[in-house]
Amino acid sequence: MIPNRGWRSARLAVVLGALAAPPSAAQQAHADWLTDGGNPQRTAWQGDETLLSTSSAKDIRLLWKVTLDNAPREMHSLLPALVVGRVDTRAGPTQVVVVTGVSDNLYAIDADRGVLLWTKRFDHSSVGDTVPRSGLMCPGGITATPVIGPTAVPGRYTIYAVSWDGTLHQVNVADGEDAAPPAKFMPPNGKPYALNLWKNVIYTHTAQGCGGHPNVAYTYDLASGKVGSWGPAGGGMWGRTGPAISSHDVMYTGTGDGPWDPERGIYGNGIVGIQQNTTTKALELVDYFAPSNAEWLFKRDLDMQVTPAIFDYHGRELMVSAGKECRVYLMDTESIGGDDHRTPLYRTPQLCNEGFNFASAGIWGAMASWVDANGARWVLAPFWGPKHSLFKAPLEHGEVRDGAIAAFKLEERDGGLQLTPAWISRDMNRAEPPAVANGAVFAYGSGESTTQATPDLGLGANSSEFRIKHSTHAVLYALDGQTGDALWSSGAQITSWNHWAGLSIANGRVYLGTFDGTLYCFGITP
Amino acid sequence: MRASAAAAVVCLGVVTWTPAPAQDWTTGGYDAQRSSWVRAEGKISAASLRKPGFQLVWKLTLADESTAARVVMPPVLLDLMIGYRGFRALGFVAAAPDRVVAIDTDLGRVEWERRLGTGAPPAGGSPACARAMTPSVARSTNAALPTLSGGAGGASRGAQPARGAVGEPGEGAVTLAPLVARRPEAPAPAPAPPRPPAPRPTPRPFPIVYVLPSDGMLHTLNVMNGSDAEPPVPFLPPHANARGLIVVDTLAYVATSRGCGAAPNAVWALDLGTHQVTRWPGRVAGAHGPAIGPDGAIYVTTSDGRLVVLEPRTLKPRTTYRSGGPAFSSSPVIFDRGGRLLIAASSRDGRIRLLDSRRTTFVTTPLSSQTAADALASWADTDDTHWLVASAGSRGSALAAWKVIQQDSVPRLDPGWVSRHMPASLAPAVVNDVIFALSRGAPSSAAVVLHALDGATGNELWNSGSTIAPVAHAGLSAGGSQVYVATGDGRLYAFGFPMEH
Repeated sequence: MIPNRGWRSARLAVVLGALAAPPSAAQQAHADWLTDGGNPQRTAWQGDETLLSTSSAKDIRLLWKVTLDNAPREMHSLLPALVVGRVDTRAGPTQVVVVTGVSDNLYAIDADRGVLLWTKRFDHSSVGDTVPRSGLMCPGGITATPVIGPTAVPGRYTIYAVSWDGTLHQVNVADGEDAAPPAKFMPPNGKPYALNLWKNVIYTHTAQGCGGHPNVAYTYDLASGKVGSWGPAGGGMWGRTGPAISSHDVMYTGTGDGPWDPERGIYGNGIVGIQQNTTTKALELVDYFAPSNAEWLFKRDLDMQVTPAIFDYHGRELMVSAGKECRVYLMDTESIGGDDHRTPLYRTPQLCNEGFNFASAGIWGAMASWVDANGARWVLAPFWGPKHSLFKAPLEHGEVRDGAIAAFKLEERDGGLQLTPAWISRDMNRAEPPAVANGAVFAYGSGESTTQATPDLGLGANSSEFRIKHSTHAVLYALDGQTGDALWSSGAQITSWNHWAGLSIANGRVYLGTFDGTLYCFGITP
Repeated sequence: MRASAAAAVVCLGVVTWTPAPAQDWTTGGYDAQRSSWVRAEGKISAASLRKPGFQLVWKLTLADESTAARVVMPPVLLDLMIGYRGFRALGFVAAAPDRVVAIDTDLGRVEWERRLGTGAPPAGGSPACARAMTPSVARSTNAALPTLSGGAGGASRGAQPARGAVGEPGEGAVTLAPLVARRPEAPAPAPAPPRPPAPRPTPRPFPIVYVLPSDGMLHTLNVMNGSDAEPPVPFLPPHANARGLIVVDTLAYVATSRGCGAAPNAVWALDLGTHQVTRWPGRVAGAHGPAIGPDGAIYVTTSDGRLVVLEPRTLKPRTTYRSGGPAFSSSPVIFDRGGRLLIAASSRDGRIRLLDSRRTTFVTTPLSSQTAADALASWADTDDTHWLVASAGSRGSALAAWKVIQQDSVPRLDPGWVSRHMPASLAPAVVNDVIFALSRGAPSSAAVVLHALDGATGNELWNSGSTIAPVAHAGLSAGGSQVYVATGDGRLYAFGFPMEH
């Protein structure tokens, strides 16, 4: 059974049983968001949500916001928040939000009160600012959203984080103290993406060749302390929420910009499935896929770079992914590309990017997937730029110029599976990976300037200075998952924008961080 | 020969030139040496053309509907441009009247178009000067001699194969090991501070293309959208018949002929920094105009049988070689053999004349054609044999290839091969080891045909059949694994191996 309905606290049964006395706020909170993308399969579906819904969305309000003392680096600032519904702290059971700041900082916040509980700053004296920043693509600092795992002790959780110097830290959520000695993991000053945790192994992958290091997938085996690696692959593996992991212990990632030449062991512009050898702890390639037009994708820099979402469908474990070309691919994890490694189960037409641009268009970040009350499987794809003139959906919500969410239903037709367009959301200023809770789709436009070239500056426009200057502010939306109707919007409440951020949902709250170091908590109170 | 020229020849010894990297088709005849030889990793090779797959990938009609002007020229190319619309491979097509059209060469789509100059023919102009309404287009060209090796290659382009690994417990990933190895045992002494580099002008943030329309003003356009990157600069008198526009460093050169407009027959130079214009009077031969040597010197063939070497920028004559024969018919082609600069050109008696720049006399081929070729192609195979290819046979009905042989440091031209019958064959282009040439049927009858020949044997590997419509004028350029044919009816054809989009 694929646990893609979110992680459950070990104390859930105990909490549900102790209903004689009115529960405290923390005792009510039984949903967690322990990893970027919501779960190891990266469906971004909060399956344990009981408060937020399509009917309560209209009551969403800003509950609190906290501005943290993290200094941004290039365009990076705060990474997506992680939420533990019930942590046993000295002050009692507490719902804790953990936020990572790019400048080697961890913050823990009381989710109910919006109060800072502790701050942890990693020692990066071996790296520090003596190493010149390499620019927008390689900001240095912490770039990988940590992952939180339960321990053998109920109510006690450990944060696994990779700091700027490439060290793996294990930190107690309750108080920020080290739960284990820091350990060598990967080279410093690199660019790993969101950590995943599966069966006592940490998974991640790197991109952009930051720090001069090759772009590889990494695993840290917590039991043995061995680090597996596999790569290089493509121009880097940069799915926003890191690797997705199947029930067969295979991690999947897009490989980014690069040639596709598997006979020579070169896997650019495709998707690879990599698995840890349980004996040696090395990483091994077990499957791979490239679109039939991978050569074209390479030529136009239309990377396959989106974190896939893995889900169960009538006993089959399927996966969806996408790339800058703006198509969605449906694959079977039994064999993601079929016999020739080039044949998915289904490929959509282009949703956007009619002009084949490498920037400000395409599907970026990550997918999302959920099952509605009728048992229908949905797939969501965020995209940037105008909708393709030929892409249609039965329900559309106005002209799309800057981005939107496209929703598909997975259906069987003519003996096969297909993704049938269902709705396209309203226009959003750079639609980012959505998250789902109780039939409500939460999405946001980042407000980030994604311009990488202009007629006057050429690629000189692709600098943090230029793009920060031209960024505006993020807007959070709640949409009806069946229709795409906008149920609520944050309007002008969020005053800054974000880059490489993400949504987290748990216990009636939605979290989003911004470039100015502010973590916003929107939601409803019970 | 003048004593000064003789002295110049004696002083030339074996020299070495830093080879330039592979480049795009930036001017007539591809490069500064007018070799018409595209050498780059790509899909086109004799081996690949023996298999099916090479075909028409797109065609465009670029004729001006409003004026019925139809002449288009083979595109100047830019294989990779990263702009605000995305990654692009562009071709810049000169089209009458006074238009330049940028084409997305992957998709065969117009990216942008500019109309420059007056667009109006000169009052009372002769038909021979009508071509003056088609602008000249060029991109910056490197004068250094390119690398000799070519050949098709794979798409991997140096990417490393992936492999798995595992580190020892507690040692982290194996990717940490190179960092440990790089750490010095003791701190190295601080190096001396580097000398500050000479100040250089700030480079433009985008590539440009140069266009010289009929008004004689040189335009510098942003390749992303055709907007002016610089104000236009006066270069030629209006309505001159210009050909062979080439830009090397900060100097633009072009040849004029036929006395069109108010322009005398000459080679012209424009200093892009000072905007000063100089000219050297002469009846310039050949379709591609002057060739540029690795030191920037200008090599000009004339219709009175001279090969003249001019100083860059000033165009002062440096050396003059007399062929001892009739007028030259083609532009010179320059190449290097063992450190010696060799120059070849065809003449009106159908021979190819070859000069070692250290000597004063030409070696020639036997009579091979009653029709003089107006352009040669020059290439080298992987066995280090250098070839010259030109149209040959009675009335230019075939291609002939000659090997450049060095014996006792003296070059000679040995027969290589003669192609099958190709009526009225036009100037060839070489892509890696494949010779592409156009043949045309009698006017208004047979189609223009693009032929692909094995460069080592002359055997035909492929032809375009009836794909290209019958037309009197046509020309070739090539790059990015595609071959372009521009025809006098305003069409542009692209041939290559289709890629799924």
